[in-house]
Amino acid sequence: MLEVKNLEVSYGQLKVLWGINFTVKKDEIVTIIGPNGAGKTTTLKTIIGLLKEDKGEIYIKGEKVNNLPVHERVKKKIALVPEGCEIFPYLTVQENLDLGAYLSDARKRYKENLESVFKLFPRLKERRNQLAGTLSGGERQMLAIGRALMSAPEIVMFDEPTLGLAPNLAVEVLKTIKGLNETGYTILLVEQNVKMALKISHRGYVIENGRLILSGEADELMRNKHVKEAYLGL
Amino acid sequence: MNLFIQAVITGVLVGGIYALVTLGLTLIFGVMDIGNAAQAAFAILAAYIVYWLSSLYHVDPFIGMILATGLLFVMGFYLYKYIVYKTSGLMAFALLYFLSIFLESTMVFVWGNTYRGIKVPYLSGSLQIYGYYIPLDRFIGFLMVSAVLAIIAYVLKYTYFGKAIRATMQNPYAAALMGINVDRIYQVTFGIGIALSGIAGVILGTIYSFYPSLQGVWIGLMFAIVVFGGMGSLSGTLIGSIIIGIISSLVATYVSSVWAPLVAYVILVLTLWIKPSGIKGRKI
Repeated sequence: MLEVKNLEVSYGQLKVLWGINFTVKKDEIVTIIGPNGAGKTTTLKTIIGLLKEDKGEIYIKGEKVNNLPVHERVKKKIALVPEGCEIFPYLTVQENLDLGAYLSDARKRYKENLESVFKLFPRLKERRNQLAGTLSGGERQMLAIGRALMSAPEIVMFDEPTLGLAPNLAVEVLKTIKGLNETGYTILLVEQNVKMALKISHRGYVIENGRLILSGEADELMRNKHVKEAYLGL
Repeated sequence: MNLFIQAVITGVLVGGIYALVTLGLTLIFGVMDIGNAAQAAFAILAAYIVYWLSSLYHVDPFIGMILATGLLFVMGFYLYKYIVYKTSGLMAFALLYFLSIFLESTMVFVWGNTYRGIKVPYLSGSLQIYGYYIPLDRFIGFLMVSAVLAIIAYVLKYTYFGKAIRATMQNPYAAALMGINVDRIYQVTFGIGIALSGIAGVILGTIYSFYPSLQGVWIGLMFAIVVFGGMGSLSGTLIGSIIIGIISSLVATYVSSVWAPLVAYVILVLTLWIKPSGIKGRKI
């Protein structure tokens, strides 16, 4: 579904990614873990087109998308739930969800998608006429996820979806993501919460200093000595 | 008392036109954070185009207004697409300021710096309601302003396109993630903003006489209204315009029309002093 080959990205003079390779297959949950500043968010932003790569190739469903702008890549049925949610604070919850279905393909399935989002997050239905800026942190995350689902994506990328949430809410969010995977979404997840993330994932990649240093099945990674010491505190 | 009510009526009518001429400025400022210093020059340009069409080719001023508005939209669209998008902040302001002077000079060159007016024979005279006079041209102008404002409000509130504009205004990155072509939104908004000032320019041209350097007077007033109403707030612009219209009209009636143009600037200074965020603290 998603393939990244030899990806190199810089911010000005500073190189952040030094040739990253990975794939996400259909129906998988794949997690990218790594310390702050390793290049995880950069990877997701480059895949969706918010950042431009220096080198390397990005394939979405087998199609090379390097030269497409963000709004064209989204049409390939890939969605990003960005770090910090990035909801539209002065629009209502309903309007935020409407914008998720901005593209014509998504508009055709507006009603059923809205229904399933409200079923997944009844709280959003209760607050549909409220300005999104008045929501709590957990509700904002629900809205960001709901908004992404409104676009009827096949691949959903999550950037630190549990950031700043209380532990019980973080568990809820990761359970929701696992649930989404079970209903047919392919998922690429970036998480600080390594243990919980690996528990729900099929495979994982470890990025450090802009380089891929480890990859494997999720349970394999959990038993890895380096992962244990650096990320699981064991 | 009669005099007072008459002054308020006049103030509301004039304020409505202030609102329309400023609305495009507010929209462009709100969505792109660009202070379009050429906004008033485009308004005067539209008035000249209609004056020229009607006096030379006998085109009805309202047909002329539609043509001029369309032309200004196209100019705004391509102006943004090929020039303005490369700049931002002060550089954009300087560039557009240069454009305003360039347009002014061009208009002086083509039409001369003399007073002109768009004649609409069927709009002369006044309505008389309960003994108060309402000049027909201003009344029709006000109705058109209200209709345009209602359409803009409806589009922004209820259509996908309007929601996309508001989303882009609040968070262009997230808007792109929704599949919105943010560059296109900027181009179209710039075109609409310029076109709106064109409509206002033509309506003004049917009521008052105009000349190329009038744009310098207008742009000052418009920026004062934008600050008073709250930077980028459309409803703030409407309320601010009407308030400034009424106060100016009262000053003209009770003090002297010589002092009326000062009202907007006194309000500007008071706004910056007491509540710098304006009537409405936030965008749209």
